[in-house]
Amino acid sequence: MDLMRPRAAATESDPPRRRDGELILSGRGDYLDDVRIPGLTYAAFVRSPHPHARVRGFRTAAAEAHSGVLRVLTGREAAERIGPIPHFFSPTNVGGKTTDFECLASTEVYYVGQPVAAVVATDPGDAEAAAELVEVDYDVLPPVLDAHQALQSGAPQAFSHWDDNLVVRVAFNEGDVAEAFESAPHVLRDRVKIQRYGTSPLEPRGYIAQWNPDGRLVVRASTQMPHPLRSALAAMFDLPETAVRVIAPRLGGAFGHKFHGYPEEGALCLLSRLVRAPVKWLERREDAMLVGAREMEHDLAIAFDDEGVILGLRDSIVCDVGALGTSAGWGMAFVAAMTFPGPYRVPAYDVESLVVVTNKAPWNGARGFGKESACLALERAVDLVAAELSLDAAEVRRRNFIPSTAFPYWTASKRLDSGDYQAVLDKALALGDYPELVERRRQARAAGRLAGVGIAFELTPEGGDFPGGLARGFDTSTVRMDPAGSVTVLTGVTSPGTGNETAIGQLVAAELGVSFDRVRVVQGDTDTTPYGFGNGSSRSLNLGGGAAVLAAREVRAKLVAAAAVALECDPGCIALDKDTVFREGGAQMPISDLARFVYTTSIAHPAVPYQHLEATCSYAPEQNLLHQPDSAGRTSSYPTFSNSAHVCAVEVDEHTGQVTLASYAAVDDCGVIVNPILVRGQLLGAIAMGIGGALWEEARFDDRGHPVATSFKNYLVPRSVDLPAIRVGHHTTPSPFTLLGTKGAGEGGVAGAVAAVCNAVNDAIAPLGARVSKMPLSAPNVLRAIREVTK
Amino acid sequence: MIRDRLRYHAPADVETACRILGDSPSAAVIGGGTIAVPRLGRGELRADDIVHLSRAGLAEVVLSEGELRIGSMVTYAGLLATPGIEQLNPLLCTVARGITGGDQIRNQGTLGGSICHANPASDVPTALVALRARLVLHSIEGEREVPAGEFLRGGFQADIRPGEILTHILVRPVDRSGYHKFKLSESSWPIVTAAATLTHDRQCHVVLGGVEPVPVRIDLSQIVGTESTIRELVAATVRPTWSDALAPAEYRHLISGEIAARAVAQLGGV
Repeated sequence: MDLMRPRAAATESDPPRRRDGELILSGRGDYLDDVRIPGLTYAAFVRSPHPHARVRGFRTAAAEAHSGVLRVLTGREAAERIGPIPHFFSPTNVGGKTTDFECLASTEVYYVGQPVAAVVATDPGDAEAAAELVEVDYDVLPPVLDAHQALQSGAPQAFSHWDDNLVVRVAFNEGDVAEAFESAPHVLRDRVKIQRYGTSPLEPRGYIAQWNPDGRLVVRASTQMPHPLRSALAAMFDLPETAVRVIAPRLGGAFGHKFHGYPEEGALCLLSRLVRAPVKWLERREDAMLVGAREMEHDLAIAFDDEGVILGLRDSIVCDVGALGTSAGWGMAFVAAMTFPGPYRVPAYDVESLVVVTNKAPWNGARGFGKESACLALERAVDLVAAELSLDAAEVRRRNFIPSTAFPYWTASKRLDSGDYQAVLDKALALGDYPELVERRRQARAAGRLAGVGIAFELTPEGGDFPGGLARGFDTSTVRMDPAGSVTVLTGVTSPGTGNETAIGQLVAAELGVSFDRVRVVQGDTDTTPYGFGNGSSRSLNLGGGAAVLAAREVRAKLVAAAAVALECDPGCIALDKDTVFREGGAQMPISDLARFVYTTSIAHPAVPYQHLEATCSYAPEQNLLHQPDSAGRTSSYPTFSNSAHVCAVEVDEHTGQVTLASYAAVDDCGVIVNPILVRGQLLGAIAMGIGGALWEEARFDDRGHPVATSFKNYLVPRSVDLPAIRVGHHTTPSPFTLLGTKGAGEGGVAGAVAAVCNAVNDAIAPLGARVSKMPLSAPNVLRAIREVTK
Repeated sequence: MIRDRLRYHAPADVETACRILGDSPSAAVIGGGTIAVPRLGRGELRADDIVHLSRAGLAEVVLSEGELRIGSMVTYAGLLATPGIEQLNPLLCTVARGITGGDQIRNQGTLGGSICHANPASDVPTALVALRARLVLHSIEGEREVPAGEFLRGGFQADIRPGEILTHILVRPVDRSGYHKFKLSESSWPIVTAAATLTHDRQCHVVLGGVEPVPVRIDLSQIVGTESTIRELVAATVRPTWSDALAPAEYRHLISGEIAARAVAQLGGV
């Protein structure tokens, strides 16, 4: 088994720094906006000012007359020229309903900001100015802006042709829940509401579409998924996929925001065809902030015994997914329910998720992908148990963890691969100096201050596989060595800016015994890389890295066979290391000489294989992707489950409701770590994102359905000085089901941070008898909770 | 993206600037540009002419007869770099040091631009009202002086007439001062600001910003005493009439007494 482990894991102590890190830090890394193309034109979109309306008609003369304008395209005209947008993953795959979504709305708009027309001009300012001149006649329809209201009979229909506002109800259950609640000594209920907020990549989306003279469509896209985007564009334009090329340049952050399925993608390609010139569009920050995520309310009940052992759990989650759309966002509602009951052994539970449409902009993926919502609800529930029984919050978790000896461990919808949750928690408690935090809390309270300590444990399903769409749990990589002994890796996974190309290069270098600098990793171009499913679900290293290791091993086998000829020995006596080929106890040659030997002497020398030094392999953790129901009817779409424990301390200002983070520590188990620098960076970033969501970030709408958050002055993300020094550590239990033993790093940490901060704030205000479970825990929300009990 | 074909002017003196303003069908005056330029980019501000005051000789701080004469192009960093300013006006220094946005904003943004923008949620209006600053406005018809408290007419509304340019801010020292602002996070606009002053004739006031559309002055001279009295007086005086995306009016009202008390506490034993 150890032979299967990546050789790179041995280099942990001195990992390579992130490739191109210097270029990026010094502002020389090129992004989509840096691409220069002759004859470039610019698009601007006309967007609906109404949350719900029928589109009566367009008047475009004034816009067409504006200087620099090349073309105005209305939804009416676009509908005649281009098909609906294919779903990233359709709700019909899980028994739900959907509708057709157009690039530019032709008959009905479902949210403020929905594109209804577009303008192309030779100058971006002219395009935006002319877009303001396009007049659209609307018949305003009643909107529905709240998911609970949307579920009531007689509520306005978000889509006027639907009968109700429910996309789908998904449910996961095990055991006799009614019996568990009836016989339990204690039952508590709570409502936990997580707000709508997104991910704020520094670089928003952007696209440049152009049609080559040969009829090929070339799209440069700041996207996480170039191949699935190619498939979608080919379908919309009724082209063979070979006629479409998608190139994803370097990405300045993504986090799910750059999953495909946006209306602008197809619209820009159509515009480019109409003006016969390359067309560029960059997402403005206000456009990026339209994209929703995470807005869910849990109605939660927990049954437990006198020792704090959980006997049963019920949760009904109402998910306000906005106007659905074709992106992956609504899937977070599914994953939120599926993540239950997290790291805990719960004999009976019943969790449902109601996916509800409203007249707000649709969701897209957001790091955490619904798992943060499940974690927040579960961790609140566990803390309520601890408070009710006056038990230590860490101790209640210990009493309920799935024991490390119980893996693989089945729940209704997943088979957990491995873990040692107690060890991870204990390490985090030690790293965070939990006893000291508790003592400091005692002192602060004695001095009349509101101090709290919060713990959370997060379970993060990773590498999901969803047959029926192009979000899959496998990927493909090619490894090739050229005659000079340099190595190129082509992989179907992409980097959102995390640096996974560094770790993949490191893995391949170690397999081939060459230096890291000799390996180049190519991603994000559908003309050069194997078909792949891009970036998401912490899949890049697990799957793309796994496939690259398999391919490297095939190339290595060819090298060893050739080396045995060149050095006149048995293949078993050959070692590859430090760019050199060694014969046991004797001769050696540079790897470049061996590569040249293969390219120049094969066939002439019958024993030298003439196949190129190249291999392509696909990889999936098949052993733990279980789509055929087992005897108990269970299936599992996620192969591996990272986890982490979080410990933090806060103080709350009783007069203002302001929360100050005093300390923060977290320990993760992401399985085998290939590059600790990258893993640490991902965990720190995820925690910062979780804290941001816990305390500040909120994409509010006014009561007329207009977004209030349109810039970073009214949507607050944390800056460095808002965050405490975050201490992180690791605990490794390799996944037995992934090639590398990795579980995935990148997504993990958001959920635990949201929950730990929420628990700490509730702990701080508990002496007042106050409780707050409506996120974010902004000063106004916290003060409101305090005033409700102290007034 | 800026949508207009702007004509950019950087006149060498105030007279020329005023003449361009008068001749233009729609002109925007730009000081540091930290507010106006992003607004142009978002299409919230439209203009044919941009009058940039960068060369108009307004970037000096002069002390004459005990009064500070601060040019309207003086940046926060420029103010702080003025010799002796910490002793002359510690309140303005506290404000300048605490402006959100780091060196980039403090090197670029101006006190003059901020008072003209009249955002109830920013620091400068509160501070200038507390200091009883007077604002010098210039047009081709001449010059007039307006007290800061009258210049601010409402949220984002300042008493600038067509063709006028703010050229100077005149500030006299106070005996002691305190300033406290409350914001939600580092990047947040202030939610509530409070500037407390004690004058040489023992008049004690606190001015609160962010609670009503314009800063509210509260005379504390009669009730100087316990903190709770200040909190109660403030809560009873200010009305919850201003809100923005970051905080509702009720919240601003709820914390106003506390924020006022924190500013007053900085006065020391009063």
